[in-house]
Amino acid sequence: MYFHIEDWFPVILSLRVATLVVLLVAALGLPLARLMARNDFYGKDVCEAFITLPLVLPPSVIGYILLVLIGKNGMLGKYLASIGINLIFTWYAIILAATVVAFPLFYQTAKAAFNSVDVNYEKAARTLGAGELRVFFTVTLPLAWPGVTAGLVLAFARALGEFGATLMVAGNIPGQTQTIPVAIYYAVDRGDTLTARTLVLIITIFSFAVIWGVNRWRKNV
Amino acid sequence: MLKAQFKKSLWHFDLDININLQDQIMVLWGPSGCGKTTTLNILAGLLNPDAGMIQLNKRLLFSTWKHVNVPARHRQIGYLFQDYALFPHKTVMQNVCYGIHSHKSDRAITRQDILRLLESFGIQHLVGRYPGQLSGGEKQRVALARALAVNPKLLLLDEPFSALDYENKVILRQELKQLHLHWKIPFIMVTHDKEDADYLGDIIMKIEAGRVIDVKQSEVIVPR
Repeated sequence: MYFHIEDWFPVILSLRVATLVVLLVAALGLPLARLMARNDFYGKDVCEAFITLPLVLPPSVIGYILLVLIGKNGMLGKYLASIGINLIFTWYAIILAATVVAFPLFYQTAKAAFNSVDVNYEKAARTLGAGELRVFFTVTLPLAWPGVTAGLVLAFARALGEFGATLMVAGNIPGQTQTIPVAIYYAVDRGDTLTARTLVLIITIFSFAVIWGVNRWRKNV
Repeated sequence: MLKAQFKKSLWHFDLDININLQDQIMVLWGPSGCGKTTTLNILAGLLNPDAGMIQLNKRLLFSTWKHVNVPARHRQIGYLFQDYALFPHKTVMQNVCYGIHSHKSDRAITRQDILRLLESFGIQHLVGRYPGQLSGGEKQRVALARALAVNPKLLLLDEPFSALDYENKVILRQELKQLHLHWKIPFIMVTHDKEDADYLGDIIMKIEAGRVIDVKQSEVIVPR
């Protein structure tokens, strides 16, 4: 038995998914975390609870909810099918599942980071003539950056390791929707220890390298 | 010239302020929590009053009747925060230049002008340092230079000497007086120190629980 070239597919797919999820989560999470950290409004607690829910729910529950939403007979799925879009059992479904589970992890970390920035710095920037966007990008974000990067690493790790929800909405189609965790599960299931061990080794080394690299970089900043 | 008259309901009392100020130093004097800093924040546009008006050199900055509320960034009011609020991730030079990049119309202010300003504060040798590497007195000078670099029409100072030891305080107090003679704009300074108030204030406004209980003009006529 050998580790074939096509066996690398899960590795590439997982990295692609995790990278895209990090970008998506940052684009959605940064403005939302900043908004929630600095503003109070009616119903904020309910919003917070809703955003954090995927962190607490078992992945299989997330998978089920997503199936109900975007499945062939799902509420959103029916509409998408009518305009010719099918998400279920494609790699888009993997992105969706991983984003949903990784989002609250990033959101919570980023919000805590924004909360830790002294509002006087932002006030000072405003009195110096800076608009809200400039305040955010030149003062708030740089000062919250260590916390924000920690959130990005957590989101990346969570997306890379996503298993339960992914399996339910994207299945296990080799060469299409088979991510590393899913591939390991099925390799063990069919007794293919070589593939399982190789993938375990790859994901462990890679995860270690990411955490080590980010920690080193943060020390130098 | 500053004209301001506003009210704001606070948690434990109502703030009711009436200010009429030429190019003088006004000291807001009173115990902690009497509404001094809130007054500065309202003038700077960082906080909205419930009702009232603020007018600086004939320019209306806030008015509940005319529905005017100029945002803080367009008020041209310098603000020296109590802890100075120097951006810790930026060098002294970047801190002082921060405001210049906000005002498109002030592009005429060059690096040379800034260096001259820093020189007048005796801090030109600190340009490459970060706020964490400065002493209390140096921090205050940098914060003053940063606030003045944008050419404000009014300068607000919140307890500017609270973080300094006595000797530094005496030196910086004199410098502040000189600075005021040079800039010829109204200064409003918050303090709870009677000595600072007497030394610097052309007008001393005593505030207690949000109300002005006494306004005293300084007897010493400062030559202008």
